Amino acid sequence: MNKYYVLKSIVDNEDYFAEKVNISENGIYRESLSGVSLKSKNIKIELKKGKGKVKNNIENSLGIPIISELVSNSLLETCHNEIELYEVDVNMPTNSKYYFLNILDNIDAINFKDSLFVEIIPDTKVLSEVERLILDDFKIGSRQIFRLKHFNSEIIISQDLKNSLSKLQLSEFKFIPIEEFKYKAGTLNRY
Amino acid sequence: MKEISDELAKGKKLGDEVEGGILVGIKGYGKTTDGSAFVKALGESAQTSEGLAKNAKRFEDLKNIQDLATRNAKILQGGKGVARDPNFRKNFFNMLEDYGLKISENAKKFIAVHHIAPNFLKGKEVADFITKMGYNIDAVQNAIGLPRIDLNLLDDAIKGLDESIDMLKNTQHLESIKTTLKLSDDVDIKELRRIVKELEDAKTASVHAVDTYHPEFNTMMRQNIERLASDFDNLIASGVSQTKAIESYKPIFDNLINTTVNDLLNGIIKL
Repeated sequence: MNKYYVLKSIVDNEDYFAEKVNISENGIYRESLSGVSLKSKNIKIELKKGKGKVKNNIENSLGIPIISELVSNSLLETCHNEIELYEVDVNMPTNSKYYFLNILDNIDAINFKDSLFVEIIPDTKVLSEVERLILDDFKIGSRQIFRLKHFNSEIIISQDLKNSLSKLQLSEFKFIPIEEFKYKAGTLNRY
Repeated sequence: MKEISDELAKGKKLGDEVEGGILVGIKGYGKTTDGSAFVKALGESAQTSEGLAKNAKRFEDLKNIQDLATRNAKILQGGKGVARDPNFRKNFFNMLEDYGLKISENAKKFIAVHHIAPNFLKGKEVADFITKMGYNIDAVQNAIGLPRIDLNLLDDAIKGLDESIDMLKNTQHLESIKTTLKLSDDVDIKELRRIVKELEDAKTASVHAVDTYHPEFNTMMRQNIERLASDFDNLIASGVSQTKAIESYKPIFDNLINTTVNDLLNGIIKL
């Protein structure tokens, strides 16, 4: 069985948080969760000046993943055909370029038979609680980075990609083994 | 204890009173776009004080202070919201004490706060979801926005107080100020000077160390609320009626808001 991880970003109060963002297209966050290509759109994103340290991951009020060139290069080496990168204009002192990361795969890979979960309404596959997630290797195939069709807020990565990102030795990311990931709607889920 | 969500769900908004006094209120000596209530009180008293003609320059200065307060309040309104009464959150001052900032009852009357309300709440999908859950979006912003002492208006209060102390030596004037600001009977010029010193100290307290948008808290709230909003839409997309979806998600959202506000009140969520 392959190992998978939920990729979580770590944010400190000293970090730059892009509270004010200009974006050319509305609804990008939701579209990006669905795993579709956004190439047909004329995406322009500008992060307004703020306070704090600019790190390799920039949290923002849109909720979209914004990563540094260092991180994006690592992704391009491992899984260039599974992602799209859109340059982001960051009005902060930094030597790096930044990109909005759009993940192309959104796959129906939860093994509902072996996972432990609660559906908000039976048979809808909308989960209100996750105690243990088991994924289907066969459906995932050789993918390195993807979202799950019925749990698409999280970014899932393979062991190989986790190894590549770990080599960067960045404090901005945390890798939660998928079998240890828990969620309960209506509570303050902290990671 | 009355559930906060009950009040929010009734459509309460900024300026409305609620039972228990937790939620709201530009009352007391919070600041509005009309300027500092404190400075205004000084100005009003000055107009009725004897010796006005002799001290025109001082009153002109007071007017300038009020103008400054008004200007700052407008800047804040455009940028980070209007400052308000810290007592909207019942233990705001307890929280400050946890951060090593103890403020006397008299000095508290000169402090205003404003909230860092997360911008993600204004996003269409999230705002629609919150409205469907029966909440007033402004009330939610106020409830989960993090309060911080407004340093600009604190400066105004200090300046107003400091520059007026000599004038306040007039007993009649001092009594008027004490009544207007509900200061205790033992307040005298010496006490006012002590308050100025206390407020000066408050300016440099460690509670102001986080002067960003509280990224850790905001990120956590964004992730939790956005996920609910997204799942709510997914539920409807799966064929469930909107009414049924609201029935399913309302208790969950109520719980999230109540948990968040209670955790803020009880200092479980650290700033």
